[in-house]
Amino acid sequence: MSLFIEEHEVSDVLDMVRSPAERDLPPGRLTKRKRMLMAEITAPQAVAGLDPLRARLRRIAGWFACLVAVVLVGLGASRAEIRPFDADHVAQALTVAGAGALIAVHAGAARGDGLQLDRKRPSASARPAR
Amino acid sequence: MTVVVEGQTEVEQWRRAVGGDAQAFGDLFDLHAKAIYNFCFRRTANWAEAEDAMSEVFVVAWKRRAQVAFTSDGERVLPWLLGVAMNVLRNRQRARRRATAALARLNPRHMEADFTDDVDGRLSDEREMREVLGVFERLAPQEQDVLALCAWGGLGYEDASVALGVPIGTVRSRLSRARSHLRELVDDSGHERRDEPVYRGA
Repeated sequence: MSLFIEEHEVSDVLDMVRSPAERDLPPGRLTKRKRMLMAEITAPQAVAGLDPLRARLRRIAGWFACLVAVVLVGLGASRAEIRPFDADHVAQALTVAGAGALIAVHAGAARGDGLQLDRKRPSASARPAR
Repeated sequence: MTVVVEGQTEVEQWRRAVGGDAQAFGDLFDLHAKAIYNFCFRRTANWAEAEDAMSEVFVVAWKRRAQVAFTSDGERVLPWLLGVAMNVLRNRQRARRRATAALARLNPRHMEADFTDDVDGRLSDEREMREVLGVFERLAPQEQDVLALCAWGGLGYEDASVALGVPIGTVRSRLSRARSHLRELVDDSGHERRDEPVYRGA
């Protein structure tokens, strides 16, 4: 168990958190896990690391698009001559909806930058052995 | 104690890894995988989950390799890795609730354990560990962390402070509180401390 616990003679702690003996990974698993790790960390995006500038720019662009969309909606709503079924306004509404979708994509991509390494592979235990 | 891997100290290996040398990181994986695996088991009571968590710890460590904190004495990296492991385990615990619902929808045949040897021993370990965690997890999270690092990770005060990123005095006080709270919990649960594992058997 813990050298620290022995050195500080806190055997009561040793008893209270006594746990099973350490084990090695099952045969072949360490090699497999190392192979997976090496594949993961030598993938181009992992070697290059995250590009903080690109991620930051993408996030700023997302917020800017959000701001533009809010201004557009505000301007549109403030116009007295709006008619619900006016084709121009339908087109305007579609444009705003498209901008919203773009914002969502940008925001999702920016958030995903830091997570894609984890998400791009399924759980190792769910994959068949090679 | 300075650990030497492939003729180089851990610090030298890690510096190579920071420079992008995946092989150096692979050597460090070989050195610490077992310790991280067993530490993760002690926090999860599940060998398969511990294996997944161990892999995740090293992927996260690779991504954050430039932020490593070595111990001052022997320039070891294990305490920092254990700190990464604790964060990974905490995140996995948060995600477990969502994952449980998703797994429940899977075909049970795909959820079989993927090891075939010493199954009895491993299942017995898991049962025993679950009983220990049943009491352990009633401690405050901060007390759990420091106790796990010192009792299961084998770290001293200074190493635990590196792993947790808190002053040594904080480690001492948290460990002291953890001991007394743990003793109260054990006394309340009616178990007796003896030579045999306290929580063995149902």
